[in-house]
Amino acid sequence: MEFNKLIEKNFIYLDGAMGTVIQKRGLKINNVPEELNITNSDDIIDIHRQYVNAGADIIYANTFGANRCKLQKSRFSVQEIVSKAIDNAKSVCINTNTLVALDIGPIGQLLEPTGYFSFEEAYDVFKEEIIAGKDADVIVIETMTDLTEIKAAVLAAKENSNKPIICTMSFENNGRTFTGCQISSMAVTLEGLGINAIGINCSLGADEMLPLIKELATWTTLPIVIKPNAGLPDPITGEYSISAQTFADQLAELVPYGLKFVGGCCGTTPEFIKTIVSKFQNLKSVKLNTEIPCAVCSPTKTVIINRPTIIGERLNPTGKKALKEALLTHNIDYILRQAIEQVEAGAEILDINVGIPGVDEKEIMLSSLRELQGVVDVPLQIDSSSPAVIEAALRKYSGKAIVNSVNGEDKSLDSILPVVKKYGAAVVALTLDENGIPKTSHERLKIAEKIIKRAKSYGIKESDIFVDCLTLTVSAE
Amino acid sequence: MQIDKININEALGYMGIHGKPGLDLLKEIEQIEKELLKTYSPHYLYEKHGIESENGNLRISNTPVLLCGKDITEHLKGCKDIVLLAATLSFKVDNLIKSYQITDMKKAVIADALANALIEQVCDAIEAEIRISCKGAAMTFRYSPGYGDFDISMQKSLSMLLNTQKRIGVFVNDSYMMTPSKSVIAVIGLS
Repeated sequence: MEFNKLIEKNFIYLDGAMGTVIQKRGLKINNVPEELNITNSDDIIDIHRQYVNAGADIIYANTFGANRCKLQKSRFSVQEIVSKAIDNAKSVCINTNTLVALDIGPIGQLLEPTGYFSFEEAYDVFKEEIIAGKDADVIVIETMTDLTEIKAAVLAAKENSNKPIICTMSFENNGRTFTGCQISSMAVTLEGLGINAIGINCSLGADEMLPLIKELATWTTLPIVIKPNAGLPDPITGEYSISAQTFADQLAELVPYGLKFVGGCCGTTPEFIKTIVSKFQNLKSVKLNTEIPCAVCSPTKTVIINRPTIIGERLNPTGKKALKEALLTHNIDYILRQAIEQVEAGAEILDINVGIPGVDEKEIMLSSLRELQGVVDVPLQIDSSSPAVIEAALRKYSGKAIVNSVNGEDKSLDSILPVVKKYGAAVVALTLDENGIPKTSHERLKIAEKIIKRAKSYGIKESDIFVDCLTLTVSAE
Repeated sequence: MQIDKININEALGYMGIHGKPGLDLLKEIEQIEKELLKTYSPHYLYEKHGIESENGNLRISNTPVLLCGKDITEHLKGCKDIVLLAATLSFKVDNLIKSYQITDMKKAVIADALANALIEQVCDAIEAEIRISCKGAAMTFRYSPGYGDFDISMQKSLSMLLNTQKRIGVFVNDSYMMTPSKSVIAVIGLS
């Protein structure tokens, strides 16, 4: 069955844990459970079969850690393991409507700026998995805790396949991941990148996920996915003790919040899925028509734009000798100091412009972004007259940024708007064009209308367009 | 876990300050202590495992992990079980210190020292919890990779065994440094 047909169903059932069931069967897992796809394929196929028989509409292939970093000590390659894993799963789905998902988990390295693993390296790792998993029906990116990492995975999926993408991150009780990523930041960023379903998996039980799902429902119009653990494990023994019925009952409480894809994570078994399917037979999924506020974000801070919001613009070299000097000498610390000062003084968003002659604007923009995001929480506004710099910055930026700017000239519209759409950014629209700044408000309005119409044709939401009417100083003319 | 005060004397030791600090410095330390206590977010886990002797070293039962070195073996003499502990103050503390490094290096040094004292206090609190779960058993003091000849590389194998990445967001890189930096992995013997 096609994914688009599948999501018309009342609820879509996912599978449960693979690791838990492997352990229960007494299979010895060394450091690489994905090798079992090759060494013990019969067992893996049987586990998949049990989930299909329990009612799963989508089963996750046993590829969670099948990336080149985690497979370093394995005698098998990513290609070998992933393709065999997909084969195993698909063999069980013949003559059923069940789809197979390529399951992509975290790389296992800490990304910049906290760690040393770069965004580009992460992208390459994910790209390799996605190409190896070309026979899967769906791509699932799960158990992620770092917004930069999940963004790299989503971009790798979008640029190297045209499969539907389901994303889930793992949160703690306080609604943040271990790297501090909030639910709102996940939703605002990933929906903008064009994924198909969004949600939460692992770390918590279904009852603990209730407040988080409630919050997620206020930030997204995408179908919601949930794959909780079977409660919390015993701290000493690591065992899960919740019953399948209790689990299903807890999940049912989440239906009013737009729950669409339901499954289980650590500690769950085929029995759990069977029980969920049985419980949910008599329930009706709810489509929420959430009015999502206009917002931009970093991983740790979301700024809703529904009132005058302060954007610090001191990181703009025009008329600033010290900043120009800092850029010429690659003094990133100076930039960071300026940023911290502005935030401490009340800036809610920071504009960053590093374009002066004599510097590699793209390189400084990327270095600055990377360091800035490690030191300030606030969302950023990428300010440049170069579409190439804007694109490179948007690609690396963790969160949803504002692009400063696009204007009414066709050249600007056609080079900036597609990039704004691709990376899910908001955009400042200047009411000027190839003829300069118009003298009348009426002409400015016409340019604004042109920009908005063109932006909407690219699929950019009206609420993501901030029109700058270019108020000039009174005695300027 | 409720920690209201950081052990300032210990922090002074980390800063290399012996004797009583001046009033101004003390005030600054207290200010940063307040900030740190507002910011840190402790995450931790612990697990009990059996150990058995293997060619003079200690195998953690049913795992690929071998505890090597005469110092750890000596430390765990007479123990049949161990508790593995991992804890962190979270990346928020690293970000705070980084932020101070850019604006005021002195504050960064103070914050770093206070954070070192704080993570030890967090571990003490975890040990108190473990003591209750392992009622009656005698516990050794906590022993981390890097102590004596207990090789620092064990940091990585223990982190993998405990799955600290997934469970508490603690990574160990190829140079055996932990991120977030204010983190501890340790072995406690039970007898």
